[in-house]
Amino acid sequence: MHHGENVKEIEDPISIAKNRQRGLVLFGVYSFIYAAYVLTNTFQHQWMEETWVLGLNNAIVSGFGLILSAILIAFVYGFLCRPAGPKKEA
Amino acid sequence: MLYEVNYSAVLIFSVIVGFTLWLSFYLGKSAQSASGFFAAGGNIHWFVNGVAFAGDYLSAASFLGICGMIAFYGYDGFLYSIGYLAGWIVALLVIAEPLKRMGKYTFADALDSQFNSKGIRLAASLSTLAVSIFYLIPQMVGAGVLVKPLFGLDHWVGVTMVGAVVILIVTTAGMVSTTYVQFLKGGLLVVFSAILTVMILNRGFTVIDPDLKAEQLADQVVTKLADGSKLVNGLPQGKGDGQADLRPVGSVLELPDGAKETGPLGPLEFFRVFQDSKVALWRDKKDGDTTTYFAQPTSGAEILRPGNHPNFKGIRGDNLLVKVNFLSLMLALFCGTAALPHILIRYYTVKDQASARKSTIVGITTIGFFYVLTLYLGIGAMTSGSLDVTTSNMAAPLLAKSFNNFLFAMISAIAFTTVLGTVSGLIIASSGAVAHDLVSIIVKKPLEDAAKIRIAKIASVVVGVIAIALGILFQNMNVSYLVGWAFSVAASANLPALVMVLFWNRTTKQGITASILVGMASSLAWILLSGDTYSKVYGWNAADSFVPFSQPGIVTIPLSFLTLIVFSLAASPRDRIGNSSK
Repeated sequence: MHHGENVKEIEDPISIAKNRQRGLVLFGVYSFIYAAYVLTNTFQHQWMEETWVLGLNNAIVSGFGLILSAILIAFVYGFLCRPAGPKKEA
Repeated sequence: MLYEVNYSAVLIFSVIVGFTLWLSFYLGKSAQSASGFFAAGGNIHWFVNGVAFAGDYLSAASFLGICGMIAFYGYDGFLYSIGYLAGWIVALLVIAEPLKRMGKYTFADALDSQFNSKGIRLAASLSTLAVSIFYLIPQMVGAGVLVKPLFGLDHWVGVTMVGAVVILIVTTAGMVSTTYVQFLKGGLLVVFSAILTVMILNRGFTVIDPDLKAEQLADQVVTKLADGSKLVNGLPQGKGDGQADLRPVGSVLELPDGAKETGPLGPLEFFRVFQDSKVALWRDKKDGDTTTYFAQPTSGAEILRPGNHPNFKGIRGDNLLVKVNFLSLMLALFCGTAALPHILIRYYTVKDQASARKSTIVGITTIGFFYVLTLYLGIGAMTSGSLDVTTSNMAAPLLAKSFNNFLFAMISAIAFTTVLGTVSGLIIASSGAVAHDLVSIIVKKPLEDAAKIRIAKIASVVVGVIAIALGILFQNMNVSYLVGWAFSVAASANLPALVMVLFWNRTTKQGITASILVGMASSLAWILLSGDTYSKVYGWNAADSFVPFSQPGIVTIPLSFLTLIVFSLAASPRDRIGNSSK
C-alpha cells in the first residue's frame, strides 16, 4: 500500500545526539510530574479530594493533567526534533 | 445475568473478520521476504503505525478491564489509564529512535547489535516468549468471556475461534496484515468510544424512579448448586415462568439541589455534577456457595478519589507495605510499556527514526485520548442501569446496550477485534523470537528468507495453539491480574538491558544476559510467591506468602539494573559495547 512520499531523514550523529539530549530532558520533566502524582496519591491522598480549580477535585484535574501533559510533551519533542527543510534526501 | 444471542454483533464481527482475512490474503505477497514478514518491509506510513500502536496496545484489559473497574470502583481504574499511558513517554523519549536504529526484526536484535552474543539472543528470546505468553492468556480468556454471553457459544469455542482467525491472519501476511488489523481496530475503538462518550454527556444523569427504588436496590442472592446450575433469589436461574435472573444495576440516587435529571452536560460539568451526587455501587458478600450482591449508596466525591478498589484501599491507610505495593505497581506500568516485545517490534515497520518518533507521537495522542474517555465510559456505565453485578468485564458493551442495540453490537464486535489485534501482535513477536533468534543460536549457517518465514509460520501456529490451550485452561482467572504479570516481567527483564545498552558504554554482553535472566526469574518468582497469587491462584492463605507485598517491580527492576552493572564491571573490558567480536 502506498502512503505518499517515502523520504528518508538524514540520521547524522549530531542530530541523533541532540534528539537524545532533548528526549532525556523532557523525560526528566515528565518523570518528575508522574512521580509527584503517584507519591501524592500514596502519602497525601487527602489532597486529591480537595477542589482547587475548575470546580473539580484535584484527583480529576491531576489525572487529566497528567494525560494531557504526556500528549503535550510528545508534541513538544516532535517539534524540537523536526528536521530542517533541506536536510532530506530522496 | 443471562444474555440473548446478539445476531447483529455476530454479523458486524463477521464482516470485520471477513475484511481482515481478505486483507491478509491480499497483502500476502508483501510478506514473501523475512523483512516483509517480520517488519512489513519497513514500509508502513508513520501515521498508520501510530494508530496501529494504539490497536496493538489497547488490549482487552484496557478496554473491558479499565471501563469495568471504573464502573464498579471509580477513580482507581483511571490510575491504570494514567500508568499505561505514562509508559509511552519512556518509549518515545528514551527507546524509540535508538531501537529503530539498532534493530531489524526483534527486540533481541537491538540488544545484540553491538555484541553478536548467543547468550543475549537466548535470554532476550526467552523473555519475549515469557512476556508474550503472559499477555496472550488474558486476551484469549477475554475472547471466551465475551463469546459466551454475546454469541451463545461455549468459552472454548470463542477461544478456539479467535485463535484460529489470528493464526490465519499472521501466517498469511505476517506483520503487514497484523498492522492493518491493528490500525482498523485502533481506529474503530477510539471513534466508537468517542461516540459513546458524546452520547453519555448528551444523556446526563437521571435519578432512579422513587417507585422502583426499593425493588431495584434490593439484595440479589446467587446460590451455586452441586450440579453447576444456579438459584437466583431462591429460584432456578432462567427467563421462563418460575425462574429468575439477576437484575441489571447502576443508578443515581441523588443529584445536586434535589434535581431529578440534569439533561445534557458539558465534559467538565459532567464530573462537577457527579461529585455532588450519590450513586448505588454494588458489592458482594460470599458465604460458602451463596453470594449476596447488595447496593451501597456512595457519594460521587468518594468515587472520584483513589482508594476504593480492594487492591488500592490500603493507600488510604497507614500500612507502609501496602503503599509500597502501590508504588511498585505504578513503577511497573511506567517501565513496562517500553519493554513489551510486541510493542517494540512495531518500530521496525517504519522507514527511519523520524517515522518511529512521529508514529509514537500519533500513538500517544490516540491512546491518551482513549484513556481520557475511559473515565466517562466508566462513570457512564456506573449510572446506566445496565451493569451485570457478577462481572465488570461486560461494563462497556452493556453501557452501549443502554443506548441502542446497534451500538451494543458494534462495541461487542470491536471488543472482539481488540482481542484479534493484540493477539496478532503477540504471536508475531513470539514467532520472530523463535525463527530469528532461537534458531540462529542452534543453526550456525544464516537461514534463507524462505526458511526463516517457514519456521516463523510454524512457530505462529504452535504459539497460537498454546495460546488457545492456555485460554481454555485459565478461563476462571482474573484477566487484569495476568496483564499485571506481563508488565512486571517485561519491566524487570527487558527495560534495564535496553536502557543500559543505550546509555552506559561499559555495558557488556555478560551484563545484559545476566540482567535479563535475573530480572525475569526474580519477577516471576516474586509473583508466584506473592500473597495475591496465594489467594487468587492457589486458594491458600495470603498471609502465608513468602514476600511482603505482591507487586515485584520496585525490587526486581533495580535488581536487574544492579545485576547488569555488577556483571559488566566484573567482565573483561574487551566485552564492552563496541569492543566485542562481530
